[in-house]
Amino acid sequence: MKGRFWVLHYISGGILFILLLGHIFMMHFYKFLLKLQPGYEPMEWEAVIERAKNVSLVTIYIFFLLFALFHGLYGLKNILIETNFGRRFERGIVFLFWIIGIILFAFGTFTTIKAGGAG
Amino acid sequence: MKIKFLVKRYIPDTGKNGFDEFDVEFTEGMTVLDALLYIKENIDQSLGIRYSCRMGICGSCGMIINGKPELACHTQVKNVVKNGTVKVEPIPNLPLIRDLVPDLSPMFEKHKKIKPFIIRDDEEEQENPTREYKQTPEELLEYLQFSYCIQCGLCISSCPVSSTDELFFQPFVLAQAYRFCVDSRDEGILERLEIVSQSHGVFNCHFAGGCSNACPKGVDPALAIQLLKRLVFKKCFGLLKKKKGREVVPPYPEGPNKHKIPKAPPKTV
Repeated sequence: MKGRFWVLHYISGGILFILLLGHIFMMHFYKFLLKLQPGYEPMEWEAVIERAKNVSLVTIYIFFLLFALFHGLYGLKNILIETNFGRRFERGIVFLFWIIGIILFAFGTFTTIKAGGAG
Repeated sequence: MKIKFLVKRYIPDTGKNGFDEFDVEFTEGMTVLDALLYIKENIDQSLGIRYSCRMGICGSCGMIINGKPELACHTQVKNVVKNGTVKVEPIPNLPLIRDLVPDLSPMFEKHKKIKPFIIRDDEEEQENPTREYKQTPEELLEYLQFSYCIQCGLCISSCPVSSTDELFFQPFVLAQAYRFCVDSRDEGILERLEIVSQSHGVFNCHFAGGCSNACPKGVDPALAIQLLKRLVFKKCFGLLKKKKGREVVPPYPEGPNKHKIPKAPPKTV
């Protein structure tokens, strides 16, 4: 069905909202909201590498990347398509954004997995 | 009292494109259409306008009056006049034929695409109807307000998406799609949702709501579009199955003819 990407766009927006809330709490409000071990700094090298070794967190990172890329690129594609430069332009934009999305996803996934072995 | 009418002129043959000024003697109860017809009959016969019913039903005389989309036959001059002037322009977002006459054919082409009619499997009943299809008052209320649309195109004139994207399905077309999707007699909901969910379809609506503000008949196309999105969501999650249209009303039982009412003559057509 043709509308399924639109539906996925809405769903990915909702998921990103939840994941971004989690990100903000974990990275910026941790002192107030989470009673972690004393002296814990989430932005320090050791903490970042520690998280990169956690399989559950790495899985979340990859899904975060996937949803963010899809949501952003699909939204941008829709804005560009509304400029109405014709069907050929539309097909070109869709093809270009698929390529950009796949490259960025592959690069992001590689970096996330590789970071786990860096420590 | 004289009122100055600033009328947008566009004559492709002569290359004329700009505003003309006309002074019209105001009379009580005068509508903008009355004033335009006065101009056409007494001042400038070359003025191009489109109208038909003069009572807000046909939707032919939609135009921009002092910056607002209105039906000319439905708009009292005394209600819109500002500093003794009324400015009249054609509907934007549609190709212009001449002066105040837009070309509505692109809008009707899109309307055709969404199959604005009852789709059913019982072709025999459609071709040779025996009785009416059953429909409860509650089922009627599901789509009633959207059936008041007169296809005047004023919703298109105030739609920001229609102004940039000429392939966009347009508010009234999507509202009509919803109107038929929720009609209890219809069986073509899945077919129609497939059409409206494609590119430049229902999801391209930004929900600015201008269409609902502009509608002279009180239809709320923005609401219909949001409800249509909901139907597409349901379809994507497999929650919407092809519905069976309501059946034909059974014939009334023949009672005793106490008052000796004669039988209806046989059908002539």
